[in-house]
Amino acid sequence: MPPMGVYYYANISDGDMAAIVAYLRALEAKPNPQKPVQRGMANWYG
Amino acid sequence: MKIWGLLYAVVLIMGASTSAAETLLQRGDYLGNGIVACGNCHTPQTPSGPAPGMEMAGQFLVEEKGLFKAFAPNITQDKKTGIGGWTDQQIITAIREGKRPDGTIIGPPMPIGLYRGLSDRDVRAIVAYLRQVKPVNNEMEKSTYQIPLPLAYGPPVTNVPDIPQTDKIAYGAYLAGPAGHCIECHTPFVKGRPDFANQLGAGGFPFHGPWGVSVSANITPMPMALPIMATLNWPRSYAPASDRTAPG
Repeated sequence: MPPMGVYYYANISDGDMAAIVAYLRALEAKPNPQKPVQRGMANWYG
Repeated sequence: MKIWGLLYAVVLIMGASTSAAETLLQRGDYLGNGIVACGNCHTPQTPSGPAPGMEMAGQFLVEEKGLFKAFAPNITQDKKTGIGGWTDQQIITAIREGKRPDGTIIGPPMPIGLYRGLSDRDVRAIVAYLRQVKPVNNEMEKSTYQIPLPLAYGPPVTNVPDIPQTDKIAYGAYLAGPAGHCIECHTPFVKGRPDFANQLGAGGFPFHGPWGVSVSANITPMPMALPIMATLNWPRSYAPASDRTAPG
């Protein structure tokens, strides 16, 4: 969902994506009670 | 057996030379249309993707009440309304130091703090890519800020080396940080700045736009942080690029 740049990120090479994933896996786990949500998308996607 | 070994060596050498032969423009095109995703802000976006014929022509970005109303400028090669009249060094200074040729400071949401870490080669590659974007005459409204912008984001940026791609986690950090600025959107803001020190990747940042409201996901390894990671084991077993879908 926007503003995530999925149209661009689809072009990331498998090797680079694997490096990003390795980095994300190495992050320290951080709690956050705020859940990811999307609202009002119907207006955008018609 | 010897023949297979020889063939394998030849393939390795060819692969290495292909990588080494990557031109600045090829690298910039890959970065700009991939992880850096310049167009995600600078190209008008529609529900079906970037607006055709308007690559890098600018768009309204976001209004944070009481803080700022931001427009992504036209960064096509148009000399009147874009950056066609800027030198390469002026473009590099704008990207990595947040300073325009007239001396004014670029404000959020341009992630200057992270772009300061773009390597010399990659920032030159991005300039090479921007140079071949076709000019579009599109006068954009100027961003306005109710918050004070810094006089500078730091000292001039010089000599940023490439991160070795062989160091997977360090290179991943580079891609998710200075290049892709994933952590900028996926980290909660405190006093107008992402709280990297305490909440790196914890998500929860709301984005208001023509699409409605999106709240960024927690991308740390916290259980159930990112539902798709927890339930589908994504992206530990990430799919090939052609099949890949990403959380949004």
